[in-house]
Amino acid sequence: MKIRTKIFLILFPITISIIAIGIGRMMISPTDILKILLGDMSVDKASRLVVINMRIPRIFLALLAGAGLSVAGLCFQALFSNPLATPDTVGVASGASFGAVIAILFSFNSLMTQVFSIFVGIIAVFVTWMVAKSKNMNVSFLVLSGIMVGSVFNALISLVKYVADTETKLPEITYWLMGNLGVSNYKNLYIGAPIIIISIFFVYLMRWRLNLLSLTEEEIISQGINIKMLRVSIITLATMMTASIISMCGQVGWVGLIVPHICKMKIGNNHSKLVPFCISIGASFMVIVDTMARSLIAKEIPISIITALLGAPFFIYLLQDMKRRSV
Amino acid sequence: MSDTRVLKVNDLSFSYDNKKYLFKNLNFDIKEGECVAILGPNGSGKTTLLKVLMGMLKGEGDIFLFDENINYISGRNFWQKVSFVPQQRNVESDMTVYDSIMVGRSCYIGVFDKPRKIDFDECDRIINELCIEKLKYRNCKTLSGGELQLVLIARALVSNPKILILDEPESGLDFRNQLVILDVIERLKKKNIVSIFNTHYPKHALQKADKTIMLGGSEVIYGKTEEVIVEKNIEKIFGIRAVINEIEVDGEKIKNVVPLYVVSKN
Repeated sequence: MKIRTKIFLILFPITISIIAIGIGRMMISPTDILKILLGDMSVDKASRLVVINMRIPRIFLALLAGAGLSVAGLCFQALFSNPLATPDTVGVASGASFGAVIAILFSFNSLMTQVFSIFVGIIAVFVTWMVAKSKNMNVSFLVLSGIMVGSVFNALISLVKYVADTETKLPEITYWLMGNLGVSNYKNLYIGAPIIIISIFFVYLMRWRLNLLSLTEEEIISQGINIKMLRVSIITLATMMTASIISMCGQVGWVGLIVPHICKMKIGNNHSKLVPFCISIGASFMVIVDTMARSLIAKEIPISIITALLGAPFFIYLLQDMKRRSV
Repeated sequence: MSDTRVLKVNDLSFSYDNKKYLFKNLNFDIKEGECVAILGPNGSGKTTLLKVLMGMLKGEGDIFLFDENINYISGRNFWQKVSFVPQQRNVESDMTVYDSIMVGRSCYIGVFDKPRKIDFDECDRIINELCIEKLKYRNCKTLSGGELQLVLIARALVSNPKILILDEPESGLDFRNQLVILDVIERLKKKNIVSIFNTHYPKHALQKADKTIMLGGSEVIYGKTEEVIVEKNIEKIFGIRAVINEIEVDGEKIKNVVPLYVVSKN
């Protein structure tokens, strides 16, 4: 990768973030933001409090969530050699959501919510894996069993909503499921961020290997690669970041589909380049979408509404494009 | 051709259900630089034999690679010496030709590593050797069958193997491309690389291979190509009457197999 590209990939999300910190009900100029970030006390206290206690953790969470969901989407697409695969396809999203919903129902703290979310997320993938497992792993089997597992967990989520207290818990769960980055505070971040950062870091290190996943079973074995280990590690890493993000921000759909595809259209299918692009573009995309969510209208819009409004048309476009290419 | 023994197969048998054996008690040696063809009708176990030789399927008996039993060689070590070229029609790749060839270096690239200078150099070298510079930046999806087969061979050769195993390398290709591929296989002899390929065309085996394995039913015939591919054996294995003739072109004798008619249902 050229130096210029590398600098762009680093500076792009930083610039977007600094602009986004200033946008909101209280508008703050970029110069003031830089002053606050550099520890200059001359800026008024209200601005400082808003930036440090509210905007920064929120933007940080958006950066992590965007990068994580995009990389996870990219991983699942490579794993299942299916351009339409996302964390939802393998049941991870529903599983992790169910774990988090249970935690909300019993008013667990944020650490337990994380643990529950990751735990059930991994169970969901594991079940999907076991159902689909056959002598030669068939891709359509995997996707189908993922959809089944996903619908079971969605049914369980409905069950929890049905029994939840309609005054307090039901609105909380419903609102949480729509996706919301408003929960961001430093305490949540301290727990979730390391999981997401470490998972992304390992995928980043293994990025060249992701290229191998699109080959047939025989081809991968004949490269001297332990295919099981490779698959298990990528699935585990992708699941960990997805579940951790979901437990903090709820179900933010479509990001794992949109971002990897935009990157693939621009730079092709080499994962050595795709992974850094997905991290940078995904993080920036999420910051932009979240800023829209909290500042378009006076009341905050759940983020998944915006991602779905952007994502569904994009999905249709992808399908049309695939149709055109296969003709 | 030197006398170093590369592959030795002892009493190799294989069956999918423990009842009907595809081949039984197969014994052969392959020396450095030899070209071996595997011939037989559909379903006779040609591809299965290749997979057993590569350890992807487990048969009874022993296979030795440079006098080491392949059951005890680590995957990485094994695949640095052996390379596999799958059938071009089974391969779907969305990468560029260059990235695709780089995949062949996997056994030299660590889990957390990226390709290094030596890997890029090797890729450039093999692209040069096979004269596919023009294809370098094309997407594999846009290649013709012949071009893709060349790229797959390049991907297999880029790891500098001692044995190249090809699954029906020339099937589904036109006249010219069949020749291009067979010439590449023939050139491997000079570099002391063993090539093992299965084929539907007795003619190709006759023209290129030093030794031939003929599979059919439970019958296995193995030996020097000109001794194995004879009219009698073709009738026995394929159930057809064929004649083998010889034509002289520029002082060189070239053998050809002409199938005549079906003798029995096989």
